[in-house]
Amino acid sequence: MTEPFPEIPSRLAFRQVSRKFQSRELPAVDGVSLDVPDGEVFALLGESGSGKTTLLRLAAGLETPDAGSVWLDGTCVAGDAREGKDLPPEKRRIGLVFQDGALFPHLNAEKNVAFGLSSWSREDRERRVKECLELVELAGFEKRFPHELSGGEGQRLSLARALAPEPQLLLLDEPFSHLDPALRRKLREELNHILERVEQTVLLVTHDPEDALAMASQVAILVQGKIRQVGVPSEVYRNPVDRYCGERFGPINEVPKPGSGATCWRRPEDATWQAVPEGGSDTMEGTVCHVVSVRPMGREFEVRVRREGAASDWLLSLAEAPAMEERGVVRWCDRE
Amino acid sequence: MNTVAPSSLGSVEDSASTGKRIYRLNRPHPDRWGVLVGGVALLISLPLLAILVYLTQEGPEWSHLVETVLPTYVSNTLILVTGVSLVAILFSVLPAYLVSYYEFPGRRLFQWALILPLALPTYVAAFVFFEGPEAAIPFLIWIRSEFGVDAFLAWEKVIRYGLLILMMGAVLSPYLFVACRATFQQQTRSAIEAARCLGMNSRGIFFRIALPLARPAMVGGLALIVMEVINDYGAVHFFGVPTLTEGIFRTWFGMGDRVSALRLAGMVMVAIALLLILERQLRGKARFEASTTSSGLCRLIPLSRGKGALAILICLVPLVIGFIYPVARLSQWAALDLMSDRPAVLAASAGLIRGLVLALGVSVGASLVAAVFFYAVRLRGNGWRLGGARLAGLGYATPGAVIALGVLAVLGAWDRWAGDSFLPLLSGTLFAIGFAYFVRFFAIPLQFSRSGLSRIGRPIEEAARLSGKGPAATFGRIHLPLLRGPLIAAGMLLFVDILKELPLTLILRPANFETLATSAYSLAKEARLQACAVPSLLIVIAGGIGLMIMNRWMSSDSSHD
Amino acid sequence: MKVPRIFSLLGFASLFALFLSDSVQAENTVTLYTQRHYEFDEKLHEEFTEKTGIKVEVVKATADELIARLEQEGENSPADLFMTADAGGLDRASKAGLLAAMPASLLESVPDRLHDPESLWTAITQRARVLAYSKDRVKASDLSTYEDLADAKWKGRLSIRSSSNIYNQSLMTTIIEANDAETAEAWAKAVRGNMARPPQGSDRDQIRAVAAGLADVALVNTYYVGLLENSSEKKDRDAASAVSIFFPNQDGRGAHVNISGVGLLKSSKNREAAAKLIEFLLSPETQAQYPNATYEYPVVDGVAWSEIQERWGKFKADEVPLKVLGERNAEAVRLFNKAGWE
Repeated sequence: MTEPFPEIPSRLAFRQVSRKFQSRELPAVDGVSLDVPDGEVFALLGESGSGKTTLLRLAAGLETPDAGSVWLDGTCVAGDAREGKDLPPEKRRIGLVFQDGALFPHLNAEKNVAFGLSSWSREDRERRVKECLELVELAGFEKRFPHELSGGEGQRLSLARALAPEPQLLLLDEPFSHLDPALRRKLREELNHILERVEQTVLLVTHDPEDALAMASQVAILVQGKIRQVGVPSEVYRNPVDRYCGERFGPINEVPKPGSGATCWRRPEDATWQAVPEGGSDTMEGTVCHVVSVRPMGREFEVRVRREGAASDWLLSLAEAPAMEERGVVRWCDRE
Repeated sequence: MNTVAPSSLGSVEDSASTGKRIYRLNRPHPDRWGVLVGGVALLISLPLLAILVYLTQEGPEWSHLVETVLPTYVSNTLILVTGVSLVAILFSVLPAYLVSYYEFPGRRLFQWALILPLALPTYVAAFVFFEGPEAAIPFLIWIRSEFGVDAFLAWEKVIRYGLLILMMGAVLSPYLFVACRATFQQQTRSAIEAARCLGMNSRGIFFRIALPLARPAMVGGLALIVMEVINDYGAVHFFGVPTLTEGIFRTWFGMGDRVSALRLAGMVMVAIALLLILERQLRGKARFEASTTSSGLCRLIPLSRGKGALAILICLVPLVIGFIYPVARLSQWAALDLMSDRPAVLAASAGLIRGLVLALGVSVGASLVAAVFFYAVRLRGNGWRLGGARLAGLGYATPGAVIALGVLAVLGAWDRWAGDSFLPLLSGTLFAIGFAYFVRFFAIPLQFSRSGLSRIGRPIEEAARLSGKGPAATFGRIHLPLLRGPLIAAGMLLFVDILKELPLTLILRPANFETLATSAYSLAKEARLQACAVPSLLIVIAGGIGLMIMNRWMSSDSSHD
Repeated sequence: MKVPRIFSLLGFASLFALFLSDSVQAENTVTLYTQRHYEFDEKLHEEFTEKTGIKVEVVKATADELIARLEQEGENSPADLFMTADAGGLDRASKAGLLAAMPASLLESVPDRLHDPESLWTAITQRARVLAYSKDRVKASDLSTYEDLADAKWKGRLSIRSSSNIYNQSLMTTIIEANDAETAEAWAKAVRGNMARPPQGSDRDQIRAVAAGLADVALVNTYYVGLLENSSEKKDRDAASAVSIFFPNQDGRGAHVNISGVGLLKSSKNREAAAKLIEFLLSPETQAQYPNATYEYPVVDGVAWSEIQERWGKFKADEVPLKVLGERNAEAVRLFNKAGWE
């Protein structure tokens, strides 16, 4: 067999990768091709069961693909070209942060971080452990055991452990899913900060769109083992390929493109509302609707409006609340 | 089974859910549950208390004992305990690890077959393996003629002790195998994956992650093995290696000093408890309960041809020593017996049905009582739980013969009191022996219930209570169905243990009551090996079936997690 | 709330327990607590039932376990008879006050030495503890007494089982009785020093060790040689044919003879049936069966020996009072302990 992919510049690449488990009817990963470029934070977004974790485990070597190949830094590590002899996880130089941290409960913080550094010299190891613990702001926690750390501290330690051997790729498997929202936001920011400093290539697996939008430079949406959409965060947010992808990031409205039969997608905050005075002219630009419901959402109001003759309502996000049953026009601004 | 006795002896494990403060929903009938807990606890503790009274007293032969034979008993016991533990570790930890993480031919078979040696009582294995020292006689004579008496004596001892240790290690290794397998398959997976991603090779992972994380399970399994070794009295007697248990019997029956004998038994129990506490101290702050991410996704690492063959060998050795060889030999003898003109099996079979029914009945009963007991204990809070678990562990750590005498004392008192009333006399009945099994083995179902109940979350229980079900109804409708797996597994293990039980049965059984164990033992005593092979083989078969059922329910239980 | 499920479960459990507590005794049975564990005994009991219509219920355990059980059961014990394979056990049972006198008429055919003076127990068979020596390597003229086994010429040549065995303990009581404690201890120490290997296995295994050439002399009960000689396994028959029997101390007090015996229990509710069983066991017909089935010696005079016993020949038996075996048992164990004989 000739080399099918002569040149793969990305740090991590999947080519037509499939993986099926015996216990399930559908393949967990179904013909996925994907490129994670050097230095970028790439997010895989999907519901549970969409195959995102399997994809990550395939990258780590904890799973073997049934078909297709996995490439790391231009080298095939799993798949057809290796004739069944995949590169084992321990040879891949990959850092993995598990959902629950998977810290070694019988080792203290320092030893957890030092675990992947056994081939380093003593001084280098000590320096690196110190460096990494400082990086994740756990200096002073060296002797603590995992069960003596809070959830956020545990995840930061897990990150330090993954980063310590200077991996060529960092995999994050739902790293915040066990944390409460406030802690989640804080840790996300810290993680962003850390990743910027170390210029690390990252594959982030998450079901939370906020994680993806806030951290990733590219986002892929995975549905039933297949990639539905890939793009930069603003692209996938603004221009979903379908309603499913759009709704991953919150409510979305289907808007007919003027002058053609085609439609486009608009977010609630893209709308402006102008009330039509009683008996006022119908010549105002925009789509005429009337307000069905108004719901205060703190900073803004979530307003449901109904178009004459249309099947579905629109959802608008407005700074000021219109009156119930008020008639008005909706105008969509183009933010691209 | 993975955590049966150790924790119940030493102290209660602080697993994630039990560590939580127990808060109670309103208790409309607090007394009913309290009475239940107290009643069961009292029932179990009475025979033990009847014995423990003697702990502080000094019998007439005590100082004689200390001056003469005690050192030998202690050193023999230590040699056996150490040796058997090492062999059992060798025969179980690596196989458990291999079947949990690697793919090689026969893996599925080994995964359950390595439990089978547990069906073989040590005294049965002993008379099969005692052919060893006999077969070695020509070799020993040669050693004596070539190298002199000292070399001869050294070799004789090495062969005898070595065979005994090897045999017991292999037969008892399933306790450790099951414990380690459960840990490897359920708890350490994510830690091992993390270690692999950090560049650790397989050897490093085994020694630096898998072994340390399996330590509590290993301590649990080892504690069971140590207790089995200490309690054994058939095998060690056969091989001429007198241990503390033999000392207890010799002091009691040979010298008629019951007080010193019981004191010795009490000291053995205390020593086991101390050992477990010591381990807990040494463990220090480090915890070993890794988080349980059972993603359900698990990839077994395929092994190359050569390494696969090595893996097969590693799994095969304990299986051959602990099961295949002795069973093959027994089958050979049994076949000879069945072909003879007067098969012994016919003579023995009449009483056997009652024995089997009794074993099954006690297994089912004790499992249910344990579930109710622990549920009630859980309703009452932490202190009770600790006390209850310790109490039950005490029975498991006491030699069967000692428990038998405790039970006799209690039932004798009952009979004297019930004397002329309409109440039934209990001494010498099947009830007496069933009750003694219950006291001796209650730790097993209790432990299974405990781990089973701790997995049933508080929310489920609270939801049931809030929908208007009382504690009893909640137990019946929610817990009992959910506990089915652990209870069946516990019942089966109990069944196998009762089937093998010997000293207690010998002392307490009613007239004309034979179990497979007692008929195997009395035939072995007459050295009618061929005849003895038949009931022995039946124990192995019945026990093997029980273990298979247990294994099935244990694994199906874990897959629900 | 109605009766909760758990309580019905507990109810079932107690019903099960009641079902098991089958303490009701049929009128026409005799309950025997016995240390003897021979298939032949079962055959005798069947024969007895056939003859008299009285059923025999049996509990088998060691003598001391049975004594402990009888003590705990007290007067409610279902047992009628207590049978042992050694005189010591009977003596201890009578010391514990468990035995009742049986009708003296039963014991008329038994020599005085072989039953209790107060008729608390009687022997039913006798067994001699003798030397089995290698036909090839030992001449009968080299052997003389038990005491002689302490001689240095036997260094590394003896094979004897553990001292926790009751037969060794009983022999030891007679050594003490015939000499004194100090001599007995020194004897045990020297004999242990002369053993070819540490004590292990049964009397059979000692004979096998001699046959295999590991040791030259074994101390065993006579009937074991008979059992081996008539075994279905060739290996056993070969072992038996490699050894000869020697009765020690023929010029002195005689060879050590122990008994297997039976006593009537105070708790017995069925004394008539129990007496019938004793009568049956002592009847000339039954006595005549023992020598051929278990190779034990009969206790009733005038009963023929088996062919193999005739071959071993007549011998002089130590006539020490049998109660000594019980009285000195603890002392014997103590001396064994001190002498280091495991």
